[in-house]
Amino acid sequence: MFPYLRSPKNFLLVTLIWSPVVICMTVLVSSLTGLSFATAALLAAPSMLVELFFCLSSWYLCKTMLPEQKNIVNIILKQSIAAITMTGVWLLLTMAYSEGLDFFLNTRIWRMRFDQVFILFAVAGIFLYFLAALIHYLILSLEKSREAEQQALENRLLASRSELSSLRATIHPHFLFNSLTALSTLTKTSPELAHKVCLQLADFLRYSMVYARKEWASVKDEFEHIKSYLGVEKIRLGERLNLDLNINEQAMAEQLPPFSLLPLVENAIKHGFQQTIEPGTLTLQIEKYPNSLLILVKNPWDKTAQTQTSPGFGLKALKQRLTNAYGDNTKLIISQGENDFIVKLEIPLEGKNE
Amino acid sequence: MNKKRAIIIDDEYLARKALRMILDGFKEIEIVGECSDGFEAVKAIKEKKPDLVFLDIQMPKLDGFDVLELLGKDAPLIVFVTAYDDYALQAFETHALDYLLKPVKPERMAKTLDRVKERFPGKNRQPVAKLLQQHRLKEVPHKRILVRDRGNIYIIPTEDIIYIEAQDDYVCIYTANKSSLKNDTLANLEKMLDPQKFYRIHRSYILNIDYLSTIEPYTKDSRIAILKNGKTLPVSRSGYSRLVKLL
Repeated sequence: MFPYLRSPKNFLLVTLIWSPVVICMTVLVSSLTGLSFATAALLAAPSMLVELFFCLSSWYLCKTMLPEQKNIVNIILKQSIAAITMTGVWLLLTMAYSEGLDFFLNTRIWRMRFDQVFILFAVAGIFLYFLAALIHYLILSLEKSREAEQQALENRLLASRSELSSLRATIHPHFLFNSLTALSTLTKTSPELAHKVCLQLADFLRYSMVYARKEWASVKDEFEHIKSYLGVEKIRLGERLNLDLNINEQAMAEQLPPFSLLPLVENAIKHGFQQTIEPGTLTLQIEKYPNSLLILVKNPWDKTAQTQTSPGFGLKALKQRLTNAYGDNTKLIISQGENDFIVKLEIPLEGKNE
Repeated sequence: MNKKRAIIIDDEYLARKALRMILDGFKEIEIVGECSDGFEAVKAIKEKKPDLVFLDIQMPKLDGFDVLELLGKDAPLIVFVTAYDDYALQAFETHALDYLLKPVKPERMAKTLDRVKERFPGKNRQPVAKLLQQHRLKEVPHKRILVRDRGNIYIIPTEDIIYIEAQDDYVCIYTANKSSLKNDTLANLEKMLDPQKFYRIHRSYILNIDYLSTIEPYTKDSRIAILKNGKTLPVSRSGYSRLVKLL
């Protein structure tokens, strides 16, 4: 938006800066022509008002030609052409005005006076145009850096917020209490299994706490984490849950933001297995490509079985976290087939936002 | 001693087992059945007519609330069981219904069973009805309608519904290949369905406009709607003005 007339304060500022310029010009005109100051103002003041308009309007031209987008020589060339053209138009208008003065006042001096100050006006016009352009560029760059600052602040806020929600999402109370219920039964019916589940749950909780403070985790650690999660879910869901976990060995050493895999698997459990009675298979594949990791999670999906209609909240939070870590280089593709639900996640192996 | 007959409903085997082990310590309770999903539950409750049901809220396909809706007036005394559900707990509190948190403690179970004795027989029907009413309006529009018909349970996706007709205490829901009766009112269904799609074209009819073909004048004051399957329905004057506003 045009900045100078945005508020009365700015308008006052423009007037304050321009007034000395007008006075200077009037003094110069009066000394060159021998007219009194007041009479010289009759020619100079209106003419300078028009010049102010020209100087202000060059703002739009400056905005379309920013130094970081275009070649500097190119800009100087174009601005020079603009300066000459605008000054030419201004001079013509001022000349017409002086003719007008002669006509209406029935004198024959104003046009002559104009010819006397023609060179002064031409030089002043071009000088003022460049000065104005310089000021415009200064203000534009100031605005830009302020915007960038604000953007950075917003990004940081967003990052910390989604980090917080990632922490909260790490341990779902539902998962925890249902697991403890199952565990309480197992301690009496099969202590051996209870022991195993206890250890798995401990691993899961430990990872959730330790990695909540870390920025990166290896695929191997992430995989161990979801294995302990799925181990506990398997105890609860029994035959309803079959697992097909397929991780490329070369991918194991790669780094990921912690809790990148868990939301994918939780989503699959929630919508694929807790919503259906029939047994099904959860597939997890991690492939390593030269520049990226491809993570695929597939689960059965019964459209009619969905009692809750909020799939993908966890996925949305994950996407936000990955965007914070990698910029726009991650892809999260969700596809719903007739009977299955596939989430594909592509993560770049370079270009982390450190 | 007059034992109370109870059914446990939970989709997880170990959770059912946990409740059973605790209830084994209470002589006044006899467990007459266990169900792992809502379909089984509705059937078992109808057949066995238990005095008391321990009902898990989160279950596949039909959750605890769905089971209650399908049981309607057949619902026995219900004790809700949940691991963690802010919304449900709040609802139970407001309507003064019994609930248990998983994992269930024997002392808490004792308290619940004491309360059950006081309330017997079946005084919690009214609060349950209110709870259901509130629950049904929570997620509007509904994507499916549940119907119990001669022992069978049908889940009708709302997009399959062509029109609904009021019939005394029931509504009849018509889809392409069948019609099902549901013990409910047209006004209730109107509130549950998507108002962009379902229109009350007449005191006794709600129409899914996806299935509407044309509307033609019938008598001086009334019109008829011709559906894509050739069926015709009466359109009242107020129903017509509602439709016109949309189309």
